[in-house]
Amino acid sequence: MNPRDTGFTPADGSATLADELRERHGRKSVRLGCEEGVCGSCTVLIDGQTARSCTVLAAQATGCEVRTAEDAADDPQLRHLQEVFWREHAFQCGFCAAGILLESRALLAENPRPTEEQVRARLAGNLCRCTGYQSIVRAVLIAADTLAIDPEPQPPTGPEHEGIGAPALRAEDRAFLNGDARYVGDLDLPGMLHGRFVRSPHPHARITGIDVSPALAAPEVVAVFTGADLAGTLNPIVVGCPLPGYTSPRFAPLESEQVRFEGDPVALVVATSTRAAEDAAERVVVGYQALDPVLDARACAAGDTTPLFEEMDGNVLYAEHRAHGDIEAGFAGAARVLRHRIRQERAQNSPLEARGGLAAFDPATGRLGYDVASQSPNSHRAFLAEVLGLSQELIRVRVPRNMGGSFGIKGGVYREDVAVCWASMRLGRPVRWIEDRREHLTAAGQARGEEVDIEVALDADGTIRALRAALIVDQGAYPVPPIASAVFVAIVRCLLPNSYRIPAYEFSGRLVLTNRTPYVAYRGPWEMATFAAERTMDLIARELGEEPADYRLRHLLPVCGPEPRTVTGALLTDLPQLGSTLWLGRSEAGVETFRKEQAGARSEGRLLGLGITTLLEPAPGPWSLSEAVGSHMGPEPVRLVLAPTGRLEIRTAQIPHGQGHLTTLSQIAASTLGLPLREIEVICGDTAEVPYSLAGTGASRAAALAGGAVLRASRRLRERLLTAAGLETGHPPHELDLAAGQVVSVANGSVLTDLPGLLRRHFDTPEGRARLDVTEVFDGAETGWAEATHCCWVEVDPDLGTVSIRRYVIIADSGRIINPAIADGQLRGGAVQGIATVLHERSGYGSDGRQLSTGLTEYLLPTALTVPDIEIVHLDSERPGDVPFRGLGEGGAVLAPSAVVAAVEDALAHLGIRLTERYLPPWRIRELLAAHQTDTVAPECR
Amino acid sequence: MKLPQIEYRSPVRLCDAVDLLAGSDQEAVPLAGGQSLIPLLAARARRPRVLVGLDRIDGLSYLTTSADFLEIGAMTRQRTLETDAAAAAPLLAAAAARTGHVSVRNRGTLGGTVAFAAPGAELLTAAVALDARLRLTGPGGDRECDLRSWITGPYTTGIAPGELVVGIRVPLRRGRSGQALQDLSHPIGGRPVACVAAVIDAEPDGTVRLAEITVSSRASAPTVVDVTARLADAEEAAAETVSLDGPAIAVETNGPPAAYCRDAARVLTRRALSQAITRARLLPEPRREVA
Repeated sequence: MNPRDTGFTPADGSATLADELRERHGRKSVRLGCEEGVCGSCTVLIDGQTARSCTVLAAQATGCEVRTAEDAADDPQLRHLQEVFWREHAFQCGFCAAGILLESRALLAENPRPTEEQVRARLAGNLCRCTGYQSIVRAVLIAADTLAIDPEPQPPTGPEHEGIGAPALRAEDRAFLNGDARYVGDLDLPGMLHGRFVRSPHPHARITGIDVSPALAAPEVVAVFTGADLAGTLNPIVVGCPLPGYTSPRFAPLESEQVRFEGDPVALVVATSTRAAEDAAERVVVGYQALDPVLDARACAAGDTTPLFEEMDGNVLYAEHRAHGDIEAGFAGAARVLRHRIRQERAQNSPLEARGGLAAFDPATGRLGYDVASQSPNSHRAFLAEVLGLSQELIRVRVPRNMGGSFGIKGGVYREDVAVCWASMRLGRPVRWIEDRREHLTAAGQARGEEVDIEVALDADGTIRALRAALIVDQGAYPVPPIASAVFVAIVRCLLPNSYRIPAYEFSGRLVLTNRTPYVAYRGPWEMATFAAERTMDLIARELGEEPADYRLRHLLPVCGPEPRTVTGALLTDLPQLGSTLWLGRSEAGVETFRKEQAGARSEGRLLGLGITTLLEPAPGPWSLSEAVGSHMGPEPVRLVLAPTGRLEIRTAQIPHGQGHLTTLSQIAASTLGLPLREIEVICGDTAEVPYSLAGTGASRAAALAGGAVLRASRRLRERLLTAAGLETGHPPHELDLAAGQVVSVANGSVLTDLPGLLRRHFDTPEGRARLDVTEVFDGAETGWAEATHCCWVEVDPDLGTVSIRRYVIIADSGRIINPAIADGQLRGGAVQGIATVLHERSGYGSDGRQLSTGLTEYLLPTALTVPDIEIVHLDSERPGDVPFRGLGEGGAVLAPSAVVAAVEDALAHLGIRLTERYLPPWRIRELLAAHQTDTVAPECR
Repeated sequence: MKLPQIEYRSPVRLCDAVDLLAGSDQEAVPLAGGQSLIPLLAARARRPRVLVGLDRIDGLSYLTTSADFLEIGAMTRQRTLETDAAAAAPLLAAAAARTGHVSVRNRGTLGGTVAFAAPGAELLTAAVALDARLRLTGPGGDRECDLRSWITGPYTTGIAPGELVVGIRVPLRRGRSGQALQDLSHPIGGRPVACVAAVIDAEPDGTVRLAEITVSSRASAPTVVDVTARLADAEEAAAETVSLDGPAIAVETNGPPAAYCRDAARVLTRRALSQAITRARLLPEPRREVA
C-alpha cells in the first residue's frame, strides 16, 4: 500500500500512522497494545524498515511505502515466515504476531543467517505475553535456515497423525498470521459511539462536585454520564459468595460520592470518535477533597482502619479459621519452632490486549448484544442481567473470534461493562469501549500482593510436626464479580500444605479492603500458597543444613492406602505417582556436581545458586478439593453434533485466547471418531450457541473437564456409529474401528464402509440426527491433579545485583498430553510470567497510595532478552479413570517464582541471606548484600 | 490514548521551520523522529498547538568526516549511526546500538536525542564524552557551542526559544586513544539505569595524557569527570555525580532508586575505565574496537 495515494488531510495532521492504517485502510493487523511505543504490536515496515506506527504520524509517512501483515500475498519472505511460525507453534493469542512477523522479516532481509542472540536482541522490542519467546525465536531461526535453502514458501504440513498426542497445527493461527484476526478493538457497527471513562486521580477522596457541561459542549460529544444518571436505574453490584461469613459492599459502576482508588471511574463520556471522547473526558471537572488513603492491609485486618464503605463495620470482607489435626500438641512437643513472614509485591496479568466491549442495544426488540473480551460470556450475561435488571434471555454475549490473552483478568465482569451496556441502552446506539494501557495497568485489576505468617513446629530430626499459617489478602477497593476473592483465600488454605505430609495444620485467612486497585485472579490464584510452602521448606532445610530437595523428599505425602488425602481432606487417588517429578528433578539437577561447581565459583567471587521447587497442582482438582474449599465451579458441558456429511461440531463453554482449545478439543474427537481435523469445528464464545456454564475458561478446566466431556461424548457417538456399522457389516462392534473417515476392521485394517455412507444410510432422519447430537456434562469428580518440579540455576552479579538464569528445567506430570507443542507453550509461557514477577514485574505504590507503574516503561514485561530457554520433561503418568488429561496452564506461573527465589537464596545463603519476599530487582539484591557481610564477596576479577 | 488535534507542518526549508518555531511562543515544537515526543503527546503530557516536522528539510541528515571533525546532521537516524559511524566514531556507534530497539532507532534521530536530553541516554552520554560541539540555528542566526555546557540537567538544555539543533561536530582524536562504553539497563535491553563512557588519550609511550569519565544515569544528566590525576579514585568521583535527591528521579519509583544508580555508576566506571586503558595501551589501532 502506498499512502501517497490516500490523500491525508491536514485535519488529521496528528493522527498516528497506526490509527490511519487501522481506521482508514482496514489494516487491522496493526494492533494497539500500548500506544506508548513500547509493546511493538503496531510494528509496520516503512520503506522496508520497521517502525512502531503508534509513534509515527501518518503525515510523516506520506510518500513512503508502508507494508503490514496484510501485504504477505506479494511478499514471499513474509509468507514463508507465516508458514514457519504456524508450523512451529510460535504464537498463542496472536496479538503480537503481525508485529513480530514484520520485525523478523526486516531482520532476515538485513541478516539472512542471524544467530539466536541476534534474533533475541532484534525481537526484544516486541512484547509477547503468552509464549516466553522460545517458540518464536526458534521459528525465526528455522525460517532463516529454510529460506537459505528454498526461497519459495511451502505450505506447512502438519504431522500425519492429528489425534491425541500429536503436535497438530493449530486451527487458530492462520487468521492472526494473515492479518485476518478480529479482536474486540477491531469490531465496528454502523452508528457506533466510543466511550471513555473519567477516572479518579486520587487513591481516596470525597467527590465535592462534578461539572460535565464543558465536556458536553466539546465537539462530537453525544453524552456524558455520571453516577447521578445511573442512580435508581440499576441494581447495586454485589459479589455473591458460597462461603459463610463473606460480606460484599454494594456499589455502582460510577462513583458519585467517594473514590476509593487511583483509577476509580466517575463518569463515562460518549462521543463519535475515541479521540473526541478522550478530549472531552479531560474537560469533565470533578471536585475532590482528598482523604487519607487506607493502605495498610494488616491494620485493616486488625480492624484499625476507617471503613471504606459506610455500610460496613470495618474493612474485613471475609475471615476464616480452620484447623486439622492436633495443632496444640504439635507445637507443644516441638524441638524447635521457626517463624517467617512471607510477602509478595503486587503484579499484573497485563495481557497485550486490554479490556474492551461493544454494547449494542436494540430499542425495537429490547435486546442487548454485548461483544466483549471475556473468559466466560455466560457469567457476563448473568451478571449484566442482574445489575441491568434485564432478563438473561434478552442478552446475548459474544466473545470476538480472537482475544489477546487474559491470564485471569478477563474472567471478571467489570463496572465498565455495566456502564457501557447501560449507555447503549440509554442512547439506543452501539457503544464501544477499548481500554488504554494506562487504564489497564492502574484500573483493571492487579493480583498477588499477599502476606502470610508461617509458624512451623519441628521434631528433633527436623520433621514437620505442625504448621500454622495466617494469610492476609488485599482486595483493593472493590470486589470483582463473579468470584469473591474469599474463594481464593480458601484455595490458599487447601493448597498451602502442597505435596507435603503435615500432621497438624492451622490456617487463618483474612480478606480486606484498601485504597488499591481491585484484586483479581491471575494464572493460578493460589500462587501465594505454593510460594509460602516452598519458601518454608527451603528456610527449614537451610536451618537444618540439609539439601533442600532432600528435605522435601522426606516430607512427600504418602499416596498408598485406599483413600490417600491431603491434610485438608482432598483425595489423592488421582496421583498414584505423587513425588515422581521431584525425584526426577533432584536427579536431573545433579545436585552434588552443582555443589562442587558452586563452591569453586565462590572462591572466585562468583555467586551461583540452584533452586528446586515442586507443586501439587489442582488441574482442576477433585471434588473433594472443592468441598474442602467450600466452593465448586460446577461440571463442564459440551455438545457434539455430527452431521450426516461426516462433519463434526463441538460446542463448548471454553473460550480459547491463546490456549489452542479449537485444536486440542478437536484432536480428542478426531482420535475417538477417526475424523480428520479439517472435518471438525469448535463453536464457542456465544451465549446463544454454546451449552450453558457459568465457569467458562479458567481454573485449568479446559483439558481435564472440557476435554473429558469431549472424550466421553465422542465415545458415545463412536458406539452409535460402530453399532450401526456392525449391524450393516455383520461384525461385532468391538471388532470395528473408525479411522480416516472410514469404518475399518480392527483385525486387518481393511475398509468395511465409509463414514459418510454409513451416516447417510442410518442417521439421515430426524431420529437419526438426534442420535448424532450428544450433550455430555463431565464433573471430573475424582480426577484433576497434576504435579510439576522446576529446577532453576542462577548466577548473581555481586557488583550490580543482577540475576541471570543459566538453566531452567520443568518436569511436569499433567496426565496424557493432548498436543505436546501446545502443552510446552503453556508451561513455558506460565513459567516466564512467574520468573518475571521475581526479576522485574511489580505493580508499585507510593506511600501516598499513588500508583508507580502506569505504563509499560514502569511495569516491565518480559522480553526475548530477559527470559531463559526452558527445557521440559513430560512424565505423562497413567491415571485412574477414563479421562487421562489434566490441566497445565497455571502451574508454570505458580511454581516459577519459588524456584527462582530459591535459586537466588541458594546463591547468597552462605552470606547469611534468607529470603522471605518474591520481588528481587537488582537494587534489592544489592541492599541485601550490603546488609550481609559484603566483605566476604571477593572483588570483581579485573 | 490518541493524540489530540495538533496542527502538523512540514516545511522544506530550515529557515521556515525556524520561523514557525520562533513565531509561536512555545506553542510549536519540532518533531524529529518522534520516538519520545509522540508518546508524550498521546499521554497529553505535552500540549503544543503546532508540530513542526523536520523530515522534509534537506541537508539535516548527513554523516561526513572533515579534517578535524566527524560531522553529523540532526536528522541522522540512530540506526544510521549504529551502522555507519563505527569507523569514524566507534563510541557513538556503540552507544547508538544500545539505544532502544531497532524499530525505535530506525526513526529516532541524533538531534532528537540531544535536544530531549533524557538522563541515562547512551548516545547523549557518548556525544558528551567525546566533547562534541553543537550546531544550532534560530531566530538570531546560527551558533555553535559545547554540548557539555549546553546540557544543564535531566531533560534540560540551553536551547533558546525558536532554536533548532542542526547537527553535532565530534572532534576526531589523534594519536593513541582508548574509549569504552558500559551501560546497565533494567531489565536487560530495557531502559537505562546508568551509562558510563571512559575516554583515555595516551602519549605514544603509553603514559595517560587525559582520562575522562562521563556518567549519566536515570537520576542524572551526563557529567564529565576528569580523572587524569586520580585514576585510583575514579569510581568514587564518578559515582558522586549521581545525585541522590535530584529532580530526575522520584523519591518513590517503580524503577531503580538513585542510590542504586550510584552503585551501578561505580561498577560501570570500573569496567569502562579498565577497558579503555587496555584499548589505549595495547591496541595498535585504538578506535577499531570499542564496547
